[in-house]
Amino acid sequence: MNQTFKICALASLLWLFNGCGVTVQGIDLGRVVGAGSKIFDVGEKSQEQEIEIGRDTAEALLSKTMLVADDQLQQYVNRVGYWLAQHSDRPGLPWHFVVLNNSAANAFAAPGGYVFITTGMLAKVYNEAELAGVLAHEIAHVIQKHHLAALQGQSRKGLLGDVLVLAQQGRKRDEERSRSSGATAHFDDMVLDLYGRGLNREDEYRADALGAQIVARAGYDHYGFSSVLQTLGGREQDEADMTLFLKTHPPIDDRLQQLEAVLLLLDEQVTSSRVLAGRYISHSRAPVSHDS
Amino acid sequence: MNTLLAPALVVLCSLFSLSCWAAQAAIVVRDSPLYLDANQRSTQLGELSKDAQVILLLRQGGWYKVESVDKQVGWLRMLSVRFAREAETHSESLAKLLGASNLAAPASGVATGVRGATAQALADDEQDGEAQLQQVDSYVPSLERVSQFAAEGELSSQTLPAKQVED
Repeated sequence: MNQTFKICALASLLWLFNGCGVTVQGIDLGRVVGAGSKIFDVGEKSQEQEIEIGRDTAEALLSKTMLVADDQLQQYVNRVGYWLAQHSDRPGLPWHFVVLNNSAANAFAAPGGYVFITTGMLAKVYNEAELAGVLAHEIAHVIQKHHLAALQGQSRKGLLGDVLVLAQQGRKRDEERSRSSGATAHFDDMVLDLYGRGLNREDEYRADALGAQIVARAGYDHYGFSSVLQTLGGREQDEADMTLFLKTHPPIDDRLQQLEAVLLLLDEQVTSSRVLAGRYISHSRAPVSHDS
Repeated sequence: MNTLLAPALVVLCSLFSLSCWAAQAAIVVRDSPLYLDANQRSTQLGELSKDAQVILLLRQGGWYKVESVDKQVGWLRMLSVRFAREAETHSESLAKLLGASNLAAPASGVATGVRGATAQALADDEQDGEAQLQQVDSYVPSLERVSQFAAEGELSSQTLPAKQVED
């Protein structure tokens, strides 16, 4: 009952404020609510909206971290990613695969086809099939709209409160079109909070399973991803850079156990698979480091 | 000269990649049969008990070629083992020395994510997200180039039954 009331109240606020140019102590509530409403409604709407939200999310993430300045590496990862995406259920999305200059081993996705992988993760990958496994796991998150659903959930829970707080306190002035402006900062905070907490375990297990299938369909060794997990599991206690990955993903042993049945099934169905260690290492060696 | 150098580099890299497994210690996580070949229908050489230590020599698909403590060599299913955490013991002793209960946060599924990355390496630097996004657009390959790339790697699409595993 209470939840229904909140949703109705929120919907009313969205309708009232969105595009009306209502300003409270310098804050354009229309923009604030507009950013939220885009998220709030998107699950029931078009692929175009999903892509638009994905682009906003990617921009928010890229405002906090740097790309690797290595065009060849970026192009290589995109080719692997695109080949995989062509074997997914949504080949027509505008996929983007992005190598971030960050020593922490991690990978994540944004709605609409954005997949990010860090140089720290590339350093723990030994061949192209393993890279494909990591990218396919993230592709699976996009296919299954996990981040989109999480952003929606966060918006449902948080926006009403935020609007009320904004209306009551009018906490900051808004500079139009700046990344730090009210609406954009609100959106960025929501994105960074989600990526800070990670997805729930069930989403991760589902992405592991679907990712293995995508990899197998694309002709790669479907054990690549579990090999990466084993590598990460063997090093989790001694590297500070692993903390981030472990905090945003379920325990590695649990994931390997969940994945095993899928891999055994794929064993019976795949007739050809490639590892491509040489090609991976020839492309990924000595990526340009921001720190060097 | 360069035409010779590139294949040589690839061969060297491949060898390096294989050697990554050479010194990896691992622990058997459940009682597991040891096979003569990487095939469940091959001769069974014996059984390794849960918590047995092995050295991983090679991986082939879902199998590891392993050497046991008593020098027996054979093949184990890949997911029957977990990599030994050699540094764990070291970290734990350090933790004891420092009076800390744990040096690394446990895997919990709860998290710091990009915010954590910001704290570590990104400092407080604001990047031009829009400009970087445009740079990202420039890396998108044509589908023709992707097909060519796959052919170069001898990757071939595999047909799998739809919905064979629950998504």
